Amino acid sequence: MTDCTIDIEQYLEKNINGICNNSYHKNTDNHCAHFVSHVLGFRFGFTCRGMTGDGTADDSANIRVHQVFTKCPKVGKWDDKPVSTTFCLAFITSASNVNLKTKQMRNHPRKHIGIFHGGKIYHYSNRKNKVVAQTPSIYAKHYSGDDITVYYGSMPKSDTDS
Amino acid sequence: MKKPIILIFVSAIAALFVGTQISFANKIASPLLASPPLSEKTILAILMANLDIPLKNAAHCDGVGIDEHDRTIGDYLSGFWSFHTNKKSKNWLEINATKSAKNLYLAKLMIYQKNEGESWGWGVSFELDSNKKVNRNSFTCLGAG
Repeated sequence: MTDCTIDIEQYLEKNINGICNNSYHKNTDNHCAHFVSHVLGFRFGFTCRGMTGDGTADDSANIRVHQVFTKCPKVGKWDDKPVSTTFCLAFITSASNVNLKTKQMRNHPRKHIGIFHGGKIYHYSNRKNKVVAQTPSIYAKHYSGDDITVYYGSMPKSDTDS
Repeated sequence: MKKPIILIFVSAIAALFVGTQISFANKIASPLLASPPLSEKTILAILMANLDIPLKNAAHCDGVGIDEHDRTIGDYLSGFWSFHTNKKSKNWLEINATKSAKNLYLAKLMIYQKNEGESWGWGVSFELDSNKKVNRNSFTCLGAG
């Protein structure tokens, strides 16, 4: 399990090229899951190394939100998050993309992920091409739309598929 | 029923362009063109001849479709390509092929969109030889987000 003592502030304002050593840096690609997975050591599923062929498996990171969502031991609506949960993942997408019972998220491009830590959500802004921190109430406005919903996910194991 | 009809129609058009017939029933794709350069159009035509490949037979394609009922590479790419109907977003394709080994090439197609300042890209890669014969077991789903 990932340790909540991580120094996440060190990533603020950084572009993905200062975080990933596997050459997966294009600003036209989506790096939200990529950032989260590098910070938390998620090497399961499809990784940045799979996109570029560069780097080592030990330093690779998952790049797909829906794969991370499925790996969370527990998921639920943000409003139902236990008060005692102060370190977890924060997903946002249309409610129609999520099935909480089966812990599945459709691979719709309009989805996003961040790390809830110390009362803020740290995430990779693909608009600003850098890591930012926001309050949960601001993060909840990441997308417009009536059914846009924030979900929490307890931390998956930070390892590979095996 | 709309998706299969659209895929068959698009493949038929591609077949006309490259001057050959495409059969989804073929388990091994035939070479499409004799001339060597792998142009963007050629790669796209070859890809269209292989849209029937099941996602379950391709690498890293589990759950990549925007619809849970997507079953083939064609279903998957159609889902993301359909976002290009949004005229307010910036939409583009990236298509290229790089030599991966002697007489082998790795072709890639990525469907990109930038909408409300946020970008995404999803696509596939596959191997083919210098005769443009596709290794149908080489398909990999690419993309992040």
